Amino acid sequence: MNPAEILEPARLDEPIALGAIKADDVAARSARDGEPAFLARRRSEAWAFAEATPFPGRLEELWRRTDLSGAGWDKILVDRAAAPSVDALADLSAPIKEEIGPASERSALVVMVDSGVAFREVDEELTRRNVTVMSFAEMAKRQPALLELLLGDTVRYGENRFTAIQAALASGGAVVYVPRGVEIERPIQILIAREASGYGTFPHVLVALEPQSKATVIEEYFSPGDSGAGVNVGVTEVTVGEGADLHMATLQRWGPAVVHVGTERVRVARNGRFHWTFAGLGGKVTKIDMEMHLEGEGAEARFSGCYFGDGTQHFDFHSFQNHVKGHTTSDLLFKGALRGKARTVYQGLIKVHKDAQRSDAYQANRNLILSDKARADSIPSLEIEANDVRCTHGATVGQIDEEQRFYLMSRGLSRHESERLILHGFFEPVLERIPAASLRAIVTEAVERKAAIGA
Amino acid sequence: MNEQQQTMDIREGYKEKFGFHDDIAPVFKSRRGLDKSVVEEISAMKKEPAWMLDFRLKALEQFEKKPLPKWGGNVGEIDFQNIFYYLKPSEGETKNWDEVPADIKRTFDRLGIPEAEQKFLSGVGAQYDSETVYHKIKQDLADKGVIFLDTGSALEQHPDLFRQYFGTLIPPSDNKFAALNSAVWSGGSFIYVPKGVKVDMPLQAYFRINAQNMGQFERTLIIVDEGAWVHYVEGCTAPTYASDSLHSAVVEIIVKKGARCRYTTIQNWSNNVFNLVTKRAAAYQDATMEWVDANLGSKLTMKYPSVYLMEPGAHAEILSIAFAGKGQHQDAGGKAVHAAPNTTSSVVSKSISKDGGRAGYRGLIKVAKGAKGCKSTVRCDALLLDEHSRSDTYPYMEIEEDQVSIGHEATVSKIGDEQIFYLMSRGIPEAEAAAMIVNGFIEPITKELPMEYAVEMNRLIQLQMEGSVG
Repeated sequence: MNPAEILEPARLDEPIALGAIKADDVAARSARDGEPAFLARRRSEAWAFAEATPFPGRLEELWRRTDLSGAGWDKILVDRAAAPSVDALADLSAPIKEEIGPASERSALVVMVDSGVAFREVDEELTRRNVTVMSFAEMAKRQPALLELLLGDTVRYGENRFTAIQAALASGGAVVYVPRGVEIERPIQILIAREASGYGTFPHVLVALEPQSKATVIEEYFSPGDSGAGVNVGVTEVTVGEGADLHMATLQRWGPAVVHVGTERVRVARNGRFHWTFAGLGGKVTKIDMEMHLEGEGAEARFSGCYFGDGTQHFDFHSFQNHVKGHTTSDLLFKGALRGKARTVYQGLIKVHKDAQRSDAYQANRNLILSDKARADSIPSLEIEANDVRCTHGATVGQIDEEQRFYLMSRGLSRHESERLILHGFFEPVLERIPAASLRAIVTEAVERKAAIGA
Repeated sequence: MNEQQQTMDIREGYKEKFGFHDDIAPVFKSRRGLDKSVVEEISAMKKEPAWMLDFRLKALEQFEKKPLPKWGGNVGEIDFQNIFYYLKPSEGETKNWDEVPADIKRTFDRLGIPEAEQKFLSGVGAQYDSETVYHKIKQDLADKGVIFLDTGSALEQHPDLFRQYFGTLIPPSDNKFAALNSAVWSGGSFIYVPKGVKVDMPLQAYFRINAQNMGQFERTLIIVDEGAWVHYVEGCTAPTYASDSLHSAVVEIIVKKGARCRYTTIQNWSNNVFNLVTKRAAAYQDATMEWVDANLGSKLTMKYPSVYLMEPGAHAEILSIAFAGKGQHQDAGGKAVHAAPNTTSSVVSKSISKDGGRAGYRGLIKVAKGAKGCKSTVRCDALLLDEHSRSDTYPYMEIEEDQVSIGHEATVSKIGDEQIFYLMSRGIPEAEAAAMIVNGFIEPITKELPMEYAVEMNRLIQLQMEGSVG
């Protein structure tokens, strides 16, 4: 060890580069924040794992097409002094306010800016019915027992270097806990925003629905305009209890210089229902692992997702529909368009276990390539071990249908307008599922802006 | 044992029809295992030119350097040092069945090869362990300049033509098993069809492993010159032994402008053979390459016949059947690489898993930058006949061009109760109904086989299906 580091340990209130962090720094910062013992232990174990584990390499099938080892990790600054919280929504910056939309469209809101909790607001009624909506840090202070129960239940920190880094440095993120039988009508909104440049953010989102409960959760990753470079390594763990019903919307709207690594995993118990709406639009490089585990009979998962790449954007998505038990249903539709020199990778796997008889699984990936420099890889796979099942998948890669374009142009639309309209129709079935009207309008507009460029 | 019982056990049926072995005293057998001296010995036995020995030794280095693949099947079980890499069964190859040593001839008689030659083939090659014992082509084709030889003789008799194409599509560094083949290859077919010559009836090669712990490493090279046509058929069987054998072939095919080649494989190795084969074709302007690949036998097959579409108008057709029964893993599939504009490909895969078998499709459709106007469709269907079996589908699509149309579809299902019910309501017993449905399921592929093979294929499926209820 460099003696200088012993003599002059990094000051606790200063950011530190990822490459310079030592185990002591992880422990010291956890102690500084007064975290419970289980969390401190988890951080140090995860850090030891991260130090001993290389970045996933090209020899691993799921990482073969996206190499993140060159993202300048060592220089990424972490543990930035938390931005001050604001007392009123009005004190947030204008683009973030606009993204949030009117209060009538939500029942709770957690806003994080650069890992610090900027604002939290929960409807009176939710509090009365013992629904928990808190930031990760608040949860550690106020409900450590519940946090301990939920944390790492679905995603282990030791899965790879990224999950370990996230667990060791977890900052920001939110927890939603809905007790048995409670039904919440309006969406719970979690906004994870970045404004500073050069930083790493490591949010952890936990959503747990107890049996027979019902909720809608929006998790959005957002940076206004092109507010600088950096990385986001996030983990989202979701459990849907017996007979519970969750609609989740995951929206990735980073600025163009952000590297995003996400592990999003859902477990659905007996007769539980999970509907997922996904849009991947921003970022420089995005690598997301999305897994749906159907662990009880009659469980159901439906996924409607879209992505739109332009410039030199790189998206790599992996989806997993895991039918562990019988009479389970999964349905995945993932649509993407590519422009410029964008590259997308979709790898999907449906697995039906031996005992999962009478399962029904569907998976479709549709790609529209709008430029001759774009590249799309699609690998929809099946592993089926039960025989009384129905499993179908399909994937297409092509361009805009000339007949559709011709039809529209014969009605007097320009080539450009025709293409916009066709793209609108292509994405509409996914976008219309975004739960809050104002947010739906914002995301739809973002997609249409991408559709309009260069056509 | 009554007839009913006999047909119910496919392994029993295999043993009697194909699983026998003959006690042959080979004229030469290399020692067990593989090292530099074994490779040098093989090359010396064959009196090869120096460049070939050099090629082999470099390939051996590649083989030793490369790791075993981590995907696909369990190749870790192969004990490379327990295998005989070269076994010469007779003094030399002949064009006359009467000159084939009597005991070897008996094997091929039992398999029906000489009879088939007379009836419906343009030429026949027969390989026994490491060497071909017989190669003959009809005189009128020979007069037109068609060459049909074992690969070793081609190296001797047509050195320039041979060297121009050998190893050009599949270099030893391609993969571990291609490297192994390149180091120890022996036998296989060499075919050259001159410009404009159409070979009406198929040329056939029959590959037989007889010895225990044998490694068969044939090497086939086919060159179809401009506007020519050829259909090559290969069949393979082996005795049923308790310990494993290894078959690792390399097949390279060049299909020139406007030419057409069809390569049909009926792979029916015994269930103790590891079948790890690299097959690749290059199709040039307006050429058509067709792989008809049926995998019924072996313990593990990893084989993905591929077509590189090199010039505009080239077309690839891949038809794959995989049938996995007890203790079998068929990792079959195909690849089409669109390297030029306006090229097309079509892949149809049908896989059937039964009695704990694992069958699947692994494939790649790649469209390179600049290959505008390409079209490709992939259709994979799988039938699972019981709750112990497994089906996998791993289709890879890598598309670097916008003006293309690429589609993939796959389904996995069991035999429909409604289909069974319909046939049974017409008075057909359940087992027979199931066999009929399976035959219908693979019909798009069997109808592409020469008639005799289609009949044989249906019979094999019938055998495998007896006693099963979907």
